[in-house]
Amino acid sequence: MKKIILSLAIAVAILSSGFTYAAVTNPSLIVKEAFSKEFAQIKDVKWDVVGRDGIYQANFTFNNENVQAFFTEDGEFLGTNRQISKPQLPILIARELDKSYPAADIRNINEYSMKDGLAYYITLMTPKGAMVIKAAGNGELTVRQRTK
Amino acid sequence: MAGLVLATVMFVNSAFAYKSETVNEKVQTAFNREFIQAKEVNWNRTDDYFKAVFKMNDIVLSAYYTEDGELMGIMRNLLSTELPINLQTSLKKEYSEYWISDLFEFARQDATGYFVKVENADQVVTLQSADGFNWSVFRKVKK
Repeated sequence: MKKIILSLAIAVAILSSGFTYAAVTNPSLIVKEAFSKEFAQIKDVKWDVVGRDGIYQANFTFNNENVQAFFTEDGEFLGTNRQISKPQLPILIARELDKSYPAADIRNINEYSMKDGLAYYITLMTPKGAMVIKAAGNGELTVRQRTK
Repeated sequence: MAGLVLATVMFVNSAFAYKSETVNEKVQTAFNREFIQAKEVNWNRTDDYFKAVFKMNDIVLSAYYTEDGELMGIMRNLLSTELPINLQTSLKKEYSEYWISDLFEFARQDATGYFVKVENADQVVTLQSADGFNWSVFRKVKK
Protein backbone atom coordinates (compact mmCIF):
# COMPACT_ATOMS: atom_id res chain seq x y z
CA MET A 1 0.00 0.00 0.00
CA LYS A 2 2.84 2.34 0.92
CA LYS A 3 4.42 1.67 -2.47
CA ILE A 4 1.20 2.60 -4.27
CA ILE A 5 0.96 5.87 -2.34
CA LEU A 6 4.57 6.66 -3.15
CA SER A 7 4.06 5.84 -6.81
CA LEU A 8 1.03 8.13 -6.91
CA ALA A 9 3.06 10.83 -5.24
CA ILE A 10 5.67 10.59 -7.95
CA ALA A 11 3.04 10.66 -10.68
CA VAL A 12 1.55 13.77 -9.10
CA ALA A 13 5.01 15.30 -8.93
CA ILE A 14 5.49 14.64 -12.63
CA LEU A 15 2.11 16.08 -13.50
CA SER A 16 2.25 19.12 -11.27
CA SER A 17 4.84 21.78 -11.90
CA GLY A 18 3.79 23.41 -8.63
CA PHE A 19 4.95 20.48 -6.50
CA THR A 20 7.27 21.29 -3.61
CA TYR A 21 10.89 20.39 -4.07
CA ALA A 22 13.62 20.91 -1.51
CA ALA A 23 17.26 20.57 -2.50
CA VAL A 24 19.20 18.02 -0.49
CA THR A 25 22.94 18.23 -0.52
CA ASN A 26 23.57 15.13 1.55
CA PRO A 27 20.99 12.32 1.50
CA SER A 28 21.46 9.37 3.84
CA LEU A 29 24.06 6.72 3.11
CA ILE A 30 21.30 4.16 2.56
CA VAL A 31 19.81 6.25 -0.24
CA LYS A 32 23.22 6.94 -1.78
CA GLU A 33 24.13 3.26 -1.73
CA ALA A 34 20.80 2.34 -3.30
CA PHE A 35 21.48 4.81 -6.07
CA SER A 36 24.99 3.46 -6.68
CA LYS A 37 23.63 -0.07 -6.81
CA GLU A 38 21.12 0.85 -9.52
CA PHE A 39 23.23 3.35 -11.44
CA ALA A 40 26.84 2.38 -10.83
CA GLN A 41 28.04 4.22 -13.90
CA ILE A 42 26.60 7.61 -12.82
CA LYS A 43 28.95 9.81 -10.79
CA ASP A 44 27.43 13.28 -11.13
CA VAL A 45 24.08 13.43 -9.33
CA LYS A 46 22.05 16.17 -7.66
CA TRP A 47 19.44 15.37 -5.01
CA ASP A 48 16.00 16.76 -4.17
CA VAL A 49 13.25 15.70 -1.79
CA VAL A 50 9.80 15.52 -3.39
CA GLY A 51 6.89 16.88 -1.35
CA ARG A 52 6.46 15.75 2.24
CA ASP A 53 6.51 12.01 1.62
CA GLY A 54 10.22 11.44 2.11
CA ILE A 55 10.84 10.54 -1.52
CA TYR A 56 14.32 11.30 -2.73
CA GLN A 57 14.81 12.36 -6.33
CA ALA A 58 18.22 11.89 -7.96
CA ASN A 59 18.82 14.10 -11.00
CA PHE A 60 21.46 13.03 -13.48
CA THR A 61 22.34 12.79 -17.16
CA PHE A 62 22.43 9.48 -19.00
CA ASN A 63 23.16 9.24 -22.73
CA ASN A 64 22.71 13.02 -22.97
CA GLU A 65 19.22 12.88 -21.46
CA ASN A 66 18.07 14.31 -18.15
CA VAL A 67 16.79 11.51 -15.90
CA GLN A 68 15.19 11.50 -12.46
CA ALA A 69 15.35 8.40 -10.25
CA PHE A 70 13.15 8.06 -7.14
CA PHE A 71 13.99 6.35 -3.84
CA THR A 72 12.30 6.02 -0.46
CA GLU A 73 14.15 7.14 2.65
CA ASP A 74 14.74 3.41 3.28
CA GLY A 75 16.66 3.16 0.01
CA GLU A 76 13.97 1.39 -1.98
CA PHE A 77 14.26 2.15 -5.68
CA LEU A 78 10.84 3.19 -7.00
CA GLY A 79 11.53 4.06 -10.61
CA THR A 80 12.69 6.68 -13.05
CA ASN A 81 11.29 9.49 -15.13
CA ARG A 82 12.53 11.20 -18.30
CA GLN A 83 11.10 13.33 -21.08
CA ILE A 84 10.93 11.66 -24.47
CA SER A 85 9.68 12.50 -27.97
CA LYS A 86 6.93 10.78 -29.95
CA PRO A 87 9.26 8.51 -31.98
CA GLN A 88 10.46 7.03 -28.68
CA LEU A 89 6.96 5.92 -27.68
CA PRO A 90 6.21 2.20 -27.97
CA ILE A 91 4.52 1.26 -31.25
CA LEU A 92 1.16 0.43 -29.64
CA ILE A 93 0.91 3.76 -27.85
CA ALA A 94 1.91 5.81 -30.91
CA ARG A 95 -0.69 3.92 -32.95
CA GLU A 96 -3.46 4.48 -30.37
CA LEU A 97 -2.63 8.19 -30.14
CA ASP A 98 -2.87 8.51 -33.93
CA LYS A 99 -6.22 6.71 -33.89
CA SER A 100 -7.78 8.45 -30.88
CA TYR A 101 -6.35 11.97 -31.17
CA PRO A 102 -5.38 12.49 -34.83
CA ALA A 103 -5.68 16.30 -34.60
CA ALA A 104 -3.87 16.70 -31.28
CA ASP A 105 -0.56 18.46 -30.85
CA ILE A 106 1.77 16.59 -28.49
CA ARG A 107 3.40 19.07 -26.11
CA ASN A 108 5.19 16.83 -23.66
CA ILE A 109 5.79 13.12 -22.94
CA ASN A 110 7.14 11.69 -19.69
CA GLU A 111 8.26 8.08 -19.54
CA TYR A 112 7.67 6.82 -16.02
CA SER A 113 9.40 3.50 -15.44
CA MET A 114 8.47 1.50 -12.33
CA LYS A 115 9.04 -2.06 -11.19
CA ASP A 116 5.43 -2.89 -11.96
CA GLY A 117 5.56 -1.53 -15.49
CA LEU A 118 6.01 1.41 -17.79
CA ALA A 119 3.63 4.33 -18.01
CA TYR A 120 3.69 7.39 -20.21
CA TYR A 121 2.14 10.75 -19.29
CA ILE A 122 1.37 12.65 -22.47
CA THR A 123 0.28 16.29 -22.57
CA LEU A 124 -1.86 17.00 -25.62
CA MET A 125 -3.31 20.20 -27.01
CA THR A 126 -6.61 19.58 -28.80
CA PRO A 127 -9.18 21.99 -30.29
CA LYS A 128 -11.18 21.49 -27.04
CA GLY A 129 -8.27 22.26 -24.72
CA ALA A 130 -5.28 20.63 -23.08
CA MET A 131 -5.31 17.17 -21.55
CA VAL A 132 -2.92 14.81 -19.84
CA ILE A 133 -3.21 11.17 -20.86
CA LYS A 134 -1.73 8.18 -19.15
CA ALA A 135 -0.66 5.48 -21.60
CA ALA A 136 0.17 1.92 -20.55
CA GLY A 137 2.63 -0.31 -22.38
CA ASN A 138 -0.27 -2.21 -23.96
CA GLY A 139 -1.44 0.97 -25.69
CA GLU A 140 -4.37 1.66 -23.34
CA LEU A 141 -5.00 5.40 -22.97
CA THR A 142 -6.66 7.02 -19.93
CA VAL A 143 -7.45 10.72 -19.59
CA ARG A 144 -6.02 11.98 -16.28
CA GLN A 145 -6.51 15.74 -16.55
CA ARG A 146 -8.46 18.15 -18.75
CA THR A 147 -7.96 21.91 -18.96
CA LYS A 148 -10.04 24.27 -21.13
CA MET B 1 1.81 -16.27 -26.99
CA ALA B 2 2.08 -16.86 -30.73
CA GLY B 3 3.47 -13.36 -31.09
CA LEU B 4 6.15 -13.97 -28.48
CA VAL B 5 7.13 -17.24 -30.15
CA LEU B 6 7.33 -15.45 -33.48
CA ALA B 7 9.49 -12.69 -31.99
CA THR B 8 11.93 -15.11 -30.44
CA VAL B 9 12.11 -17.30 -33.53
CA MET B 10 12.83 -14.24 -35.66
CA PHE B 11 15.55 -13.27 -33.24
CA VAL B 12 17.28 -16.60 -33.04
CA ASN B 13 17.13 -17.33 -36.73
CA SER B 14 17.66 -14.20 -38.79
CA ALA B 15 18.38 -16.23 -41.92
CA PHE B 16 14.74 -16.72 -42.86
CA ALA B 17 14.10 -17.34 -46.55
CA TYR B 18 11.83 -14.48 -47.56
CA LYS B 19 10.21 -14.42 -50.98
CA SER B 20 8.76 -11.30 -52.56
CA GLU B 21 5.07 -11.99 -52.83
CA THR B 22 1.77 -10.59 -53.93
CA VAL B 23 -0.25 -10.63 -50.76
CA ASN B 24 -3.70 -12.25 -50.55
CA GLU B 25 -6.85 -10.13 -50.19
CA LYS B 26 -7.54 -11.00 -46.54
CA VAL B 27 -4.09 -9.88 -45.47
CA GLN B 28 -4.16 -6.77 -47.65
CA THR B 29 -7.55 -5.72 -46.25
CA ALA B 30 -6.42 -6.28 -42.66
CA PHE B 31 -3.23 -4.32 -43.25
CA ASN B 32 -5.02 -1.38 -44.91
CA ARG B 33 -7.49 -1.19 -42.01
CA GLU B 34 -4.76 -1.25 -39.36
CA PHE B 35 -2.13 0.99 -40.93
CA ILE B 36 -3.99 3.71 -42.80
CA GLN B 37 -0.97 6.00 -42.97
CA ALA B 38 1.52 3.36 -44.15
CA LYS B 39 3.87 4.32 -46.98
CA GLU B 40 6.43 2.44 -49.10
CA VAL B 41 4.93 -0.97 -48.30
CA ASN B 42 6.87 -4.07 -49.36
CA TRP B 43 5.50 -7.58 -48.85
CA ASN B 44 7.43 -10.80 -48.27
CA ARG B 45 6.40 -14.21 -47.06
CA THR B 46 7.78 -17.34 -45.49
CA ASP B 47 6.01 -20.67 -45.29
CA ASP B 48 4.33 -19.50 -42.07
CA TYR B 49 3.49 -15.83 -42.37
CA PHE B 50 3.37 -12.65 -44.44
CA LYS B 51 5.62 -9.74 -43.58
CA ALA B 52 4.99 -6.12 -44.55
CA VAL B 53 7.86 -3.63 -44.24
CA PHE B 54 6.68 -0.04 -44.40
CA LYS B 55 7.10 3.51 -43.13
CA MET B 56 4.69 5.22 -40.78
CA ASN B 57 5.41 8.65 -39.26
CA ASP B 58 8.93 8.30 -40.74
CA ILE B 59 9.57 5.13 -38.73
CA VAL B 60 10.27 1.82 -40.47
CA LEU B 61 8.02 -0.95 -39.12
CA SER B 62 7.45 -4.60 -39.95
CA ALA B 63 4.01 -6.17 -39.50
CA TYR B 64 3.48 -9.94 -39.48
CA TYR B 65 0.23 -11.60 -40.62
CA THR B 66 -1.11 -15.12 -40.87
CA GLU B 67 -2.61 -16.21 -44.18
CA ASP B 68 -6.04 -15.48 -42.67
CA GLY B 69 -5.18 -11.83 -42.11
CA GLU B 70 -4.57 -12.08 -38.37
CA LEU B 71 -2.00 -9.56 -37.14
CA MET B 72 0.64 -11.55 -35.28
CA GLY B 73 2.82 -8.62 -34.25
CA ILE B 74 4.60 -5.41 -35.16
CA MET B 75 8.36 -5.00 -34.99
CA ARG B 76 10.80 -2.13 -35.27
CA ASN B 77 14.55 -1.98 -34.84
CA LEU B 78 15.78 0.33 -32.09
CA LEU B 79 18.90 2.19 -31.08
CA SER B 80 19.92 1.47 -27.50
CA THR B 81 19.06 5.09 -26.63
CA GLU B 82 15.47 4.43 -27.70
CA LEU B 83 14.96 1.77 -25.02
CA PRO B 84 13.06 2.65 -21.83
CA ILE B 85 15.59 4.21 -19.48
CA ASN B 86 15.80 1.34 -16.98
CA LEU B 87 16.54 -1.14 -19.75
CA GLN B 88 19.31 1.16 -20.97
CA THR B 89 20.92 1.56 -17.57
CA SER B 90 20.69 -2.12 -16.61
CA LEU B 91 22.15 -3.15 -19.98
CA LYS B 92 25.04 -0.80 -19.42
CA LYS B 93 25.51 -2.06 -15.86
CA GLU B 94 25.27 -5.79 -16.53
CA TYR B 95 26.74 -6.03 -20.04
CA SER B 96 29.23 -3.15 -20.23
CA GLU B 97 31.87 -5.44 -21.77
CA TYR B 98 29.55 -6.58 -24.55
CA TRP B 99 28.47 -4.97 -27.80
CA ILE B 100 24.92 -4.91 -29.14
CA SER B 101 24.44 -6.78 -32.39
CA ASP B 102 20.64 -6.68 -32.63
CA LEU B 103 17.88 -4.81 -30.82
CA PHE B 104 14.17 -4.55 -31.50
CA GLU B 105 10.74 -3.82 -30.04
CA PHE B 106 8.00 -6.35 -30.68
CA ALA B 107 4.36 -5.39 -30.10
CA ARG B 108 1.45 -7.80 -29.99
CA GLN B 109 -2.19 -6.80 -29.70
CA ASP B 110 -1.94 -6.14 -25.98
CA ALA B 111 1.72 -6.07 -24.96
CA THR B 112 5.13 -4.71 -25.86
CA GLY B 113 8.39 -6.62 -25.50
CA TYR B 114 12.03 -5.77 -26.09
CA PHE B 115 14.71 -8.12 -27.37
CA VAL B 116 18.46 -7.55 -27.51
CA LYS B 117 21.38 -9.66 -28.63
CA VAL B 118 24.71 -8.78 -26.96
CA GLU B 119 28.07 -10.35 -27.73
CA ASN B 120 31.63 -10.48 -26.50
CA ALA B 121 34.55 -12.51 -27.82
CA ASP B 122 33.28 -15.69 -26.18
CA GLN B 123 29.50 -15.76 -26.27
CA VAL B 124 26.26 -14.38 -27.62
CA VAL B 125 23.53 -13.59 -25.08
CA THR B 126 19.93 -12.96 -26.05
CA LEU B 127 17.88 -10.99 -23.52
CA GLN B 128 14.19 -10.22 -23.45
CA SER B 129 12.06 -7.81 -21.44
CA ALA B 130 8.30 -8.13 -21.12
CA ASP B 131 7.84 -5.33 -18.57
CA GLY B 132 10.13 -2.63 -19.96
CA PHE B 133 11.99 -2.58 -16.65
CA ASN B 134 14.05 -5.78 -16.30
CA TRP B 135 15.92 -8.03 -18.72
CA SER B 136 15.86 -11.81 -18.50
CA VAL B 137 18.24 -14.15 -20.28
CA PHE B 138 16.51 -15.94 -23.12
CA ARG B 139 19.50 -17.77 -24.51
CA LYS B 140 23.30 -18.00 -24.22
CA VAL B 141 25.47 -19.46 -26.97
CA LYS B 142 29.22 -19.94 -26.89
CA LYS B 143 31.09 -18.83 -30.01
